[in-house]
Amino acid sequence: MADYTGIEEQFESAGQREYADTFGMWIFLATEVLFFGGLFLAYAVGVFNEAEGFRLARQETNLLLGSVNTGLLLTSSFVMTLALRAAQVGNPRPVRALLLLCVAIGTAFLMLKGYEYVEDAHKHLVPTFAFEWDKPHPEAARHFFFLYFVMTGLHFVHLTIAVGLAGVLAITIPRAAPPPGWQARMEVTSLYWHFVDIIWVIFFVLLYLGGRT
Amino acid sequence: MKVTAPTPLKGALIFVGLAVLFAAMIGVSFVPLGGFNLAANLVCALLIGLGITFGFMGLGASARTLWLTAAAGSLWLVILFTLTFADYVTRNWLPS
Repeated sequence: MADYTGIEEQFESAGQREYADTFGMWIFLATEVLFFGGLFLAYAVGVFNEAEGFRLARQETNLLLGSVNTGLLLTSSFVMTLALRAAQVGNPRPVRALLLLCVAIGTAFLMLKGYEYVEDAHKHLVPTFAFEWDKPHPEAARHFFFLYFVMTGLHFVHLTIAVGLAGVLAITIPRAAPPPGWQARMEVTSLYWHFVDIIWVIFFVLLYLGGRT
Repeated sequence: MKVTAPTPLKGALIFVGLAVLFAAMIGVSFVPLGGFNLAANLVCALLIGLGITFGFMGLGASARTLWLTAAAGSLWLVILFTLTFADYVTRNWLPS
């Protein structure tokens, strides 16, 4: 069982450890911006060069499922904030339930996304494996769906990790008021969860919205 | 430096604001704006992102080093896009 109460020898105080935890997570998130930035750029270049083809391809994604999933993630961010608040004010009772609710919402997102992938496969929209396009600009559409699967696939992996982290926190929460060490893990997990949410909102715009008129 | 979680009431207000922006984002995608649809949607997404960053992630109440870290990530995106599109946009400026 992890020890959440002690302060590791490299830190002078609990405050310094708290700061290091948060600072470290923000640096990690900044590197994630670099990671996803390449995908945003690839998409932007695609739109710049093949605007009409991308617009036609975007109309083939499932707007209803994408919207439901975006609503789920925005809700999960609110629930995660409530869980963090409850942990910070020393009220452990609702924390586990709220974390499990986050896990449930995240899992629902992943299942809907999985269903959408199956639907895409049935529509023969998977580049390399099975891609059929009877509308104009087939190469642009292939390019769009290549980016679609890479972007949503990487987000899928990120959300799976976030769901796992929230699940571990829900299992390991102490019965008494959560000690600072546990709270620090809760804080960095919440930062990661919110970041994954923000990335999805941008993906939702790029891959589902725009050109629907 | 703790991540400052908002009170439940403040969090609920932020969530309602995000929901309104989300609805506006979907709504505007059905308004015929030509090439500006994507831009309008991205503005909504940017506002949602800022709402989450400052409302839920507590960046507003954080130490300046965290601001600097977040700004560094954003600055990278600006450099990436500026240099790339400086090339794409100016390719045809000079006669071949």
